[in-house]
Amino acid sequence: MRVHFYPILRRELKSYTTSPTVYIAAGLFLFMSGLLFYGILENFSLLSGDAQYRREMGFEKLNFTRHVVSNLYWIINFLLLFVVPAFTMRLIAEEKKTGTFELLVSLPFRDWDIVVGKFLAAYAVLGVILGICGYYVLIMMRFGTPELPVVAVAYLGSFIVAAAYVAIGLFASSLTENQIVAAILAFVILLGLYLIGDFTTPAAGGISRVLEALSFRYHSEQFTHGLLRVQDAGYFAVVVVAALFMTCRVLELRRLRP
Amino acid sequence: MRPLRLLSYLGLLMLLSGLVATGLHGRFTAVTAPVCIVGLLLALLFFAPQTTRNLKLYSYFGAYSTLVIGTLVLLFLILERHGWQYDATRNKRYSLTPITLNFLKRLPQPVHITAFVAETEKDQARLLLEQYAAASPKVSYTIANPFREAMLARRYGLQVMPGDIFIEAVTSSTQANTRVTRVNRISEQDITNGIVQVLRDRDIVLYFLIGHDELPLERSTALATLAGQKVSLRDLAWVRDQLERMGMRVVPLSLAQRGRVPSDASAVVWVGPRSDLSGLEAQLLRQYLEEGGRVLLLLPPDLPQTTGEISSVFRNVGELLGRFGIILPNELVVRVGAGQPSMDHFSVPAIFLPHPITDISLEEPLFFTYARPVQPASLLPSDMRVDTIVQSPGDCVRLSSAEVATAIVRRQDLSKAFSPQEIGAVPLGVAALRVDPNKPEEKAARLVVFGNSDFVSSERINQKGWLLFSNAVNWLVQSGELLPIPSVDIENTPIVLSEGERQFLFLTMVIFVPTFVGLIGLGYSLARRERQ
Repeated sequence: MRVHFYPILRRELKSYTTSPTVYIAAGLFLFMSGLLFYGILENFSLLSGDAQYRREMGFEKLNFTRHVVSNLYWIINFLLLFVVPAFTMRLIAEEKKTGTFELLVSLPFRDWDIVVGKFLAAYAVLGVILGICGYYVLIMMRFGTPELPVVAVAYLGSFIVAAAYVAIGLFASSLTENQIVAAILAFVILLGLYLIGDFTTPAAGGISRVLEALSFRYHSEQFTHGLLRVQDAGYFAVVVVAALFMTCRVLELRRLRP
Repeated sequence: MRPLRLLSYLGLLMLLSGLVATGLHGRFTAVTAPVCIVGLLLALLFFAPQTTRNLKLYSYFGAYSTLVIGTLVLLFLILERHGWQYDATRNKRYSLTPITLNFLKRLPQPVHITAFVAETEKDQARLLLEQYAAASPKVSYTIANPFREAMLARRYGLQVMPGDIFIEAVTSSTQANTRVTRVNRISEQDITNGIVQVLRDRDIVLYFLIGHDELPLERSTALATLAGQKVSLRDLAWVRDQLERMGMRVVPLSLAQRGRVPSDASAVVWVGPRSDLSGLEAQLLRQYLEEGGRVLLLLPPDLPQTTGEISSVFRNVGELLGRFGIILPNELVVRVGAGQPSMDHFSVPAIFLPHPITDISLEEPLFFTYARPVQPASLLPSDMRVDTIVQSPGDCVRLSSAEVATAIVRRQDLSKAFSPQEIGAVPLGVAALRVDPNKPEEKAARLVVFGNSDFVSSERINQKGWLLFSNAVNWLVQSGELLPIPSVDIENTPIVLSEGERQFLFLTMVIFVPTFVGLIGLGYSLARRERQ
């Protein structure tokens, strides 16, 4: 089965570049992440001022990678929860509302072409924004002593996490014709999956383990520590494939519904 | 009403009830979680087709989707079970050492780890314990908050706190635990050695010497109440409870009556005696040490109530220790910090020097109230290695009992009475090891002496005091069994930003870059729209 998504991808990318919402969302994301990164650096600098005292008192050592790098990428992953729905809400919902979706499905594209094309377009835009965040690495190298392999893993982790967020956003967009509802739905699903592991108790036994294993937060935090684990990357890959698959099924149902 | 619609409303009701119960409980439980899941599935029937015309189609879609998603979940579970990881940190602080991995491969029986942690440490604990479980199918774990999961905590005693980790050796056939040990840190070093302890094939027996007015092993409140005395907790009941919970046997020993140290003794402990050993007892203890024995002494100072003739209460013990390179001066350590009029001169902070016994990362302070100096001899026997492990701060002096009594009677200000040369740090605890070239180090005689005993009494003990005591016991009795896992050292890499650098960072990250991206992008998109 050959996926022929390129025309869809090109069309969506063109659409993104002319959408003011994208630039506003990108500016807001960079503003928030920049502000919080500045806060982390300033806090670390203040703690470092007491380094001599802390060493004498036997307090925890101040490690730049542990305090700054991990927190920065944790924040980026968390902010993506809010930003991704803004990027993905219009992908299918808008087409359904304006009626262009019927036109699209009448063209010789399969559902997978449409879904993969739209997913890659949104992911590419988000990738560019995450790419702009790359200048944080230069700032860290200029002002601190980060462990670069940890930075690389944490940064790669943000790209992996973003892929899962986009896939879920796309799925939410396929469920409704209203963009705002799609955005809220995507946010609720993402937040739910992010926090699901925190609502467990050992008394719940196996269910507790399942809920913890589904937690976005737990899996994404391993990247921020500099830990690249197959189970975390695999988890997000499974989420991407499952969400894209379900999106295809939703489109297929719509097409076949009498 | 159609049955499907009715079922969907019932499902919605179940879901809502489940969520309300979860909200009240604060967590999903074994009951609320299935109720929510079943409720959600039933509620989804609301979207089921209203006619049966498309039922076949929807069934096909449902089955197909379930199959694909199920396969993906299975794939994920396989990955989760046989994970591979790349630890990018410089000192591999998130990976188990090869020593632990090799040890876990050879586990003789299943082990269950129950970690009681605060919410903030939950992920760190899970990350570490997951690696243990992945390294050996015989390791399983539970992570719990002792305040939320009170029932579970109660299984391990009333005083379970965040940070307590219980390791149980489980009998494979019955899944019943046979032995439990407790460690107090979520670190590879502690957990691996905790497993070593719990799987050891012999009992640890600690003989506590009696017959010299020591701190009693039993709770003293009942006796005091019966005698009509003021209730005091100057006993070792708490310590005894903890040692027994760690799987050790605590046995009182009257050396004078028994005539020897029993052969099953892992160590002899003597805490807070008020009178000396007899010559015979000292001789027996010396013989035990010569044969590779382990002894822990917590000796209080002579307090000023015995003013007059200054004679060492611990003359025989002093002589015994002298043979092993330890000096026990008959003095009291007093703080004389200038400019602190409200200072308690007799409460001395214990400063830890690097040693396995003092490897404790708690920030809580530990005070020795009335402490005597204990120091290595200037000329050590050739086969002895003696390390100072605890000392006082630099604002202390040594006084004889008579000097202290005189100073108190005359109400002298202790902070003014000394020349700076007399003031300095005083050793308060030592660890000694007899190095015998014919014996491996783990078989050598070991001796730990502290110049205070009150810090382990039920009345005064705190977490740090307990860890110091239990580390001393562990160092004495288990040195041969514990695995030498290197502790991961975190590099100290502080940075201090100047005012100019802060301004630059703020302007760049908060103002320029976001504004540039937002405005340029907005202008570009509007321009393109106009062109279109």
